[in-house]
Amino acid sequence: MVETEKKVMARKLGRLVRAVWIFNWFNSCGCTELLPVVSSRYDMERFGLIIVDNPKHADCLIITGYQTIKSIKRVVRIYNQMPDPKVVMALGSCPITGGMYWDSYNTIKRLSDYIPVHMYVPGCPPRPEAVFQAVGLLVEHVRKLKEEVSRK
Amino acid sequence: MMYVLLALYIIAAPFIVGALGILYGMVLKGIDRKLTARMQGRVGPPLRQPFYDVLKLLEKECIIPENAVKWLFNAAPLIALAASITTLLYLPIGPFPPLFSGNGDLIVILYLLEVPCLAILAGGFAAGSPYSTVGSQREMVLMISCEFPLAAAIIALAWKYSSIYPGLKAFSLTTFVNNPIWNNVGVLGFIGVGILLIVMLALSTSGLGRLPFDIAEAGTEISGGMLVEYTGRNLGILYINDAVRVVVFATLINAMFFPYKLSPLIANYVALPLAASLTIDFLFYLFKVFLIAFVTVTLMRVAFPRYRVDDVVKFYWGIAGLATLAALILIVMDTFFGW
Amino acid sequence: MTEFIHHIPALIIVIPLLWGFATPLIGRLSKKGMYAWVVTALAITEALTIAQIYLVLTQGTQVYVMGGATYNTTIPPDSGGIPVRIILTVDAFSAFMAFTAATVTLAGGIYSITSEEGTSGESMYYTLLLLMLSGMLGMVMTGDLFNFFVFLEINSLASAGLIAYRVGKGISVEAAFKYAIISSVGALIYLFGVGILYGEYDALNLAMVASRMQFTGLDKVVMALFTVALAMKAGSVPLHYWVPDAYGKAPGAISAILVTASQASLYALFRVCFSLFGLGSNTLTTGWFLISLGLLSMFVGVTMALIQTDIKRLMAYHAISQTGYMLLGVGVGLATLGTAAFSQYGLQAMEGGIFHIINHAMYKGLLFLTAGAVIYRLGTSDLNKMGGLAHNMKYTTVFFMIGALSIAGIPPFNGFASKLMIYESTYLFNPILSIIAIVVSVLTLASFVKVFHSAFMGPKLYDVKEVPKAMLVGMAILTSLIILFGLFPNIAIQYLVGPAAKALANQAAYISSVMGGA
Repeated sequence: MVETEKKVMARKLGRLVRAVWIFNWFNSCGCTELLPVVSSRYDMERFGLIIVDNPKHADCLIITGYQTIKSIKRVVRIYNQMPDPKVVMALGSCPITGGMYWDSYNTIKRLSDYIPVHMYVPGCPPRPEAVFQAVGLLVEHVRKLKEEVSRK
Repeated sequence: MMYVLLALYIIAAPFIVGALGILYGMVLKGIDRKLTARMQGRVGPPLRQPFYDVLKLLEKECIIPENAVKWLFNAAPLIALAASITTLLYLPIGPFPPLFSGNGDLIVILYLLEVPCLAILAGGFAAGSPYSTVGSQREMVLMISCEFPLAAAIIALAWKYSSIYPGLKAFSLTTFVNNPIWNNVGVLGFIGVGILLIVMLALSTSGLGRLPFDIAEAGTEISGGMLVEYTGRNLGILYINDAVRVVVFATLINAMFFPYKLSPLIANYVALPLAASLTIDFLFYLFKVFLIAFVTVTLMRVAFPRYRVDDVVKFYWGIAGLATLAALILIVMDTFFGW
Repeated sequence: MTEFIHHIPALIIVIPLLWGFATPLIGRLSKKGMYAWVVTALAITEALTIAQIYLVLTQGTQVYVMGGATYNTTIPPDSGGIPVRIILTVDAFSAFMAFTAATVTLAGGIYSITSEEGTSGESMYYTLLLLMLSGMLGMVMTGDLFNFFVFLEINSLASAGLIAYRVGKGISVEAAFKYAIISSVGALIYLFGVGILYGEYDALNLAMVASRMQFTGLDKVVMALFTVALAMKAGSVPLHYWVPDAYGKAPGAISAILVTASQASLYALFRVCFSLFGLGSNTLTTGWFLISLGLLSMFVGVTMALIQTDIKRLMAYHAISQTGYMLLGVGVGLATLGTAAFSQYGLQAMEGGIFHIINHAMYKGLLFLTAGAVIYRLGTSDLNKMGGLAHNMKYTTVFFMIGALSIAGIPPFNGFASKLMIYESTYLFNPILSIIAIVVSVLTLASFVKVFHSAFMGPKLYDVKEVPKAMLVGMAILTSLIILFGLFPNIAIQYLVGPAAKALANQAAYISSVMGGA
């Protein structure tokens, strides 16, 4: 990437990670342990993450669990509606490799074939702390990017 | 020299008031989210979170739908923010008198309070999406329902002032600030004004579009209602507008019902220079605004679920309307019988 | 030059009349020439009305005796103290109304150049338009009761012809027929009242009858006849049934001009209540009567407008509703006439009501012109069939938005200025009046939001172009006045409205300007 582009991306991502807004697409069984993350026990709002109900307002799309052939078309449409910069997190083993439904006739096996995925969170379903570790890794990545850019 | 200072004051004062509205509004938003979280047993975001939210929104891409009427879609958030800040210029900020005051202050404020809702509504229509159209229509229904109690409350109080002080301009907020309403009513009037205070608090909640009256921006029902097609910078401006409106409504209720200052109380014990008393009064005003915002926004949000749109209409035309009329009758009886 | 100045009142009425009759002849020669001819007539009339306002402000009430020895020999020396001829009495209120009528007709006339282009009988259209203007100006400037009837009939007949102009499968003709019948009935009731007064006092001149008025029981009957007939012509509830049809089916510019025609009847109603009967009658009762008409009109008009699906019918119901504001303001002024409360708030209420007259003519005219523009492009006036016009017709959308914001009373447009004055004064009379007025204001906003959404917003349905320039110029004239009066209402109040309200309330000055002396 050109230098100034990287700087701009670093600034944008730097502001993004402090207030990640997640789109409310919680389907399949992978999201079961995501609900405590939203509510009081593991409270994700203390890191600035909130749930919005509209892909146009969202920064992060969390694909929890398997996607069928019908629903992946809708996932692609939702991904296209989100404004830049955006982050996709694949939650659970199903979007990564097919998971429990690895030989099913109507689920997709690899999410990265359809939309770019930035973070993989394995587990079936993943623990709530895993989501926080994923966000933490994202923050780390952005911090490294900003250091790199400011060094130049 | 005086003219230069005066010119500077005229040019700079609206900016200062606007900046105060925006910054304090965002601080109130942060406090609101923190207190809501604590009341729900959570930890809650840091107090600076709304600033992070707005900074992030300003960086996002601004998507304009193909079906939208572009000029109106982009202009609506700006008009809303400008109207909110203009309303703030007509309100007394703490111990300072309003920047613009004239004959019919309260009616100008009454109409200016409608303009941001109208602008966002027009933006919702301009977006060309069925979700935003439904949201805008619901907002219009809400505005119609709120008008009767609001008009009746303002006219009742102005009428009371005009019957006690015939020489003063009854609609001017300076009259309200200099003669607190509670000092000028008997027992019946006290009950009447109390009812009006409760009705005005409920009207603030719906004017701000918060639970239980946030049917127009209902997240889970219509994907964000009027704001559904707004992204990026436009959404950021609407977020700021939301924050300023909290300050506007809270300042209005403060000026109408609780225009008390703290410095006379302290001046009984300690001699205060002018700057110190102004500062104390200003901080007291900020505290009062926080209290009113706490009651109308945070407590309501935590305690109530969302009303349906026809229940909102029934509430405002039915209960709130009858209560306001009863308060008007009590105030009139108080004037004529002097109890 | 000074001679010319004295003849201005007569010229204002006569110029549209004569030029109107010459229009078909010129129309035969060249179309463009006819347009220029008509616009020149309208512009000259407008200039003369502005000059007349200046004259009235500087020199006081102008009188003009038709056919007299000099222009102001109101009482000929050999008549025994009776003003025999037809006398045009122009005080500040009349000059104000004349200015309103001329402005709206000018805007409508320029608008009609393209909106009625290509229809058959165009020269007849412009003839009737100029006749209608002449009738309106005569109605507001005359000081003679029977002469008012004559001009009322001229106005009504010309309007009826113009309403039926676009025959359109006979629907417009039915509306015109309804209008003609109701106008005739109203005018005849009025004439009956004039006849009774003539029989009692042997005089037809308004000032003469006012100076001889004795308030017998028969006079109360006359007052009832007058108020009912003129309220019917002004279009207030419960006599409003002709308004939706007539305004709704007329061509675009004519609806705008019909608004000022109804306001001329409203002028006559106020003139009768204030200058003819004045303080000797029970002004509290008459005032409350006007206030009740006003409240009914406001509320019924706006609630009926909320459910309409035809764009012009919706706006016609709003015309009824806004007439209610004028009746409310001036009614409060009438009810407090002669008491101490008049100088406190009664005069301000009257000023608000009268200011609302010109504001209403401006923004209602603008709204009707934009509705006409939409119908011109789409061919339909049904809101259910419209949609997405803002994508192509940007100027029309902006004009519509300005008109809708004005009628809802949003600052900084002119509707707010007059409504503020009405609220600030009527609440002292009775707080319930102001509350109802504010609620009606937001209901007005609601129905125009509905029209805005149905007609202009939404995805693009039709591929239409913007309307031709002449229509835009007509709309721009009214918009400029809206913005001017909205941003600087003090100009209007100081020069137009204030003198008008004071002149209306001052019966003695009106009588003495004609009768001379004390």
